[in-house]
Order: sequence, then structure tokens, then C-alpha cells
Amino acid sequence: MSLVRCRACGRRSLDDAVACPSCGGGELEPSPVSEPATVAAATTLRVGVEDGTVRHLVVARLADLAVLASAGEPIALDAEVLVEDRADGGFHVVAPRS
Amino acid sequence: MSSAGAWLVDTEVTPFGRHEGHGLVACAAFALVELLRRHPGLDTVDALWLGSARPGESEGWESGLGVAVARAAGLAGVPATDVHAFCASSNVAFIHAAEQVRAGQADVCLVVGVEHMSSYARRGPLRPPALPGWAAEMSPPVFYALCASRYLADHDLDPAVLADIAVRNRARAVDNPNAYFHTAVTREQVLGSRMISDPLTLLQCSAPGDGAGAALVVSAAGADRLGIDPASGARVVGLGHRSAGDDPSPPLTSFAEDAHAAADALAQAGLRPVDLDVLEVHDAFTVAQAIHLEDIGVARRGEGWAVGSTDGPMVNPSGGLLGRSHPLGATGMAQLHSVRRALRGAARHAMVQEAGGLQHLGQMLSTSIVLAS
Repeated sequence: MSLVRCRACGRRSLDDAVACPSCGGGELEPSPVSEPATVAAATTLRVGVEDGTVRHLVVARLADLAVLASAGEPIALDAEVLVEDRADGGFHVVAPRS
Repeated sequence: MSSAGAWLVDTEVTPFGRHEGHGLVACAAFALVELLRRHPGLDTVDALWLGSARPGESEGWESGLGVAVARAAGLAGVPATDVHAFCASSNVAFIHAAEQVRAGQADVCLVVGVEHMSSYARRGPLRPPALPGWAAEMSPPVFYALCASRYLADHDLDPAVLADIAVRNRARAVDNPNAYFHTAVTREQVLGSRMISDPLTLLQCSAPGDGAGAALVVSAAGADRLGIDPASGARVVGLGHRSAGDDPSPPLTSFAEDAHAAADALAQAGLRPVDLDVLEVHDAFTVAQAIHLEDIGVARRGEGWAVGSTDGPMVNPSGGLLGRSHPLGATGMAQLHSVRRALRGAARHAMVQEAGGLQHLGQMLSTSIVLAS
């Protein structure tokens, strides 16, 4: 899971889209993520995790949309963070911004 | 918009829980056969609608389950249609049946909802195998835990207010013979149960289950054909069915599709939220009940958790998903069963609300049904 950007109107969306949700344009190009965000929601999943540990997850609000992101540690609500693409798909909160 | 009426005149629900040895077809047929026994004229049914979330996952019924259930119940030849809409499967099936009757295209329809989660091929959260790996992390418990974290923070609430929803619903399930859980729980037990995904503990999450339910919906002509007084049932006065829009940054503490579906149903009925005496809503997780009640409009933002604790409408009188368990495709029928019984008592207007879908940042399928006596 990553983001794509519409070449016609510039709107970003998740890459399961085949047409732009705003203008219907069909030309969507990859849009790598490395930008600040605010933590809108946070949880720590404690069951059903494949490696038997816990999984810290947040909803990170970027300037134009929200994404689910993993984190290496619990993150407080409303914290300012940096979100990047994860190598195996999805997004990761890599560092709180000071 | 049709002008013909539709009446919910009877319902039947099997016990919810674990039904080893009885699969999807048997569970669904048990519910239908009970309706057939009570209404001998049901040998001429115009349509059967079946709702089931994951029949392929449990027993390989990717399609055709409705036809198989009809045959097992002695209704071979009845046009049968399967509906798969996650938790809302049988609500959506009911909406199709009621709309068919209201449109004058059928006079007697049966709806059946069924799920057999004991036989799912894979344990774990609801996730279609076709979805990529990231979806596993946005499982329903995680989605609602994220919602709960925001809900509690936005309204400066203690997690105990959500625990109290489980306490109330479990207490109401005690007297429901079809519920899976017949023991009340305390706030301390709810908060002290195993943490699933912060802040939601085990007892704030509905349990998987097996079970089925069925409903009979008819037109006035259909009621006459069956020798039933439609006034003995509940008139279907409003239906709502919406899916999520494309809000790229949903609020997590309300679902627009939920509010729109409820508004559609209430507008059709000419009712306001305050007119509702009884609601059966989607408490798959405690916070879901609070948010859905606010979206429907029976509570202000941040106050949905308290509805049903004092004065006001009765919420989930049959125990909700938290008390009954949540065999996905059967839950809607259990909700209809509950409100039909309430409407035979003192309640005047009742609503069934069920939400289902891929909880990927709030992408849900939401349905609402209003019934009035």
C-alpha cells in the first residue's frame, strides 16, 4: 500500500484506486511519502500479531489525507510525526518531530 | 418510490453460539422451517433473500447457498439470492426483500441470515484473503480501537464509560435464551479482561459465533394470502442503505454513511430520532455503539455512550452483539427479531442499524431500517 497522485488534478489517494476520486482521471503516478503528519488515533495491538509481539499503529493525518501507519513505540495522540513509506508496503512513523 | 406497504410479520432465531456438526445450510434451514411450521401457506414464497458474510470461507459456498438452504427447507424452486455484505449481510438482504415488496414485485418474501464462524478455514479477524498484507493490521478490533482512542480523547472521557456499554448489554443478554452469553459482567471485569488493542479489552469485543435467523416480510395481499393480520406485525416505514464516500481523512468518531442511512430511513418514515423507542445497533465493539447512536441522532456528540443507561430509548434489549455473540450474517435477523418483539409490546417505533465493511480508515457499508408498529 502506497500513495498515488493524479496527474490531472494532483489529488493523492491510496494505490488501490484506478481512477482519481476527485476528477476521475486515470493517470495515477506513484507518490512517495516522506512528510510530517499528526497522530489522529493510536493503538497497540496485542493479539494476533504474527511474530508474537505487539504492534503499534496510528492513524496519521497528512496535509491532504489520513493513512494507517506502524510505529516502533507507542505514540501519543496529536503528536507531530514524520511518516514514510514502508519497504514492505504501507507506512511507518519514523521519528517524532522535535 | 413505491407506495405499497411492507410488513415484517414474523421472525425466528436459532440460539447463537457454537453449533458443531450443524453447518450453514442446517442452521439456516432450522430457522426457516420454524417459520414454515407456523405459516402453512408459505409453500408459495415469491422470493428468498439470504445474507451471509463469508460462506465461502467457512464451507466453500462462494455462491448458491440460498438455493441450497431453500431446498433443505422444502422450498425448492423459490427464487433465491445471496447477499454478502459483511456484518450487514442480512440487513441488506432484508432491505432488498422489503423494497421488492414495497415495489409490488413480490407479496411474500423470506429473508434468512446465517453464519458459521466455527468452520472458518482461518482463525483471525475478518479479512478477505484477496486483500494485501497491510489489511491484516487494519482489522476490525484495530479500527475500532483507533476510533476509541480518538473518541475518548476528543470528549475527555474515561475508558470506563465504554466498559459500561458492555456491562449493560451483557446484562440484557441474560434473559435472551438465544444469546451466547448469559452471565452479567462488572465494569471491573470488563476493564480487567485481556487487552486486545488499546483501549479495547476482550469483553468490549463481540465474540464470533454460529447461528441463523429468518424473517417473513409481506405486502397486504401477501398477508391476506397467508391469513395473517398485517397489523400483528411491524410495518416497514423506512429503509436506509449507504456506503462510505471518499473522504480522504475521515474523523474516526463518526461515520457519514451511517448518519446518511439513518436520515434516509427516518425521512421516509416521517420520524425524528427522538421518536425512536428501541434501537438495535451495531455494538461489535463498545465504542461502535456510542458512535452509531450519535450518528443516528439519538445523542449529542460525546454522549452516545450513555444512551440506554438511564431514561431515553432502549438500546440493544436483546443483549447486542456483545451479549448474543456476532455470527456476522445472522446478526441482522436477531436485531429484527428483537425489535419486532419490542413493537408487539409498548414500543411504537424501533430501528435496526447494522454496519459492516472493510474498516479501512472508515470505509464501511452502513444500513438502517426503521420499523413502526
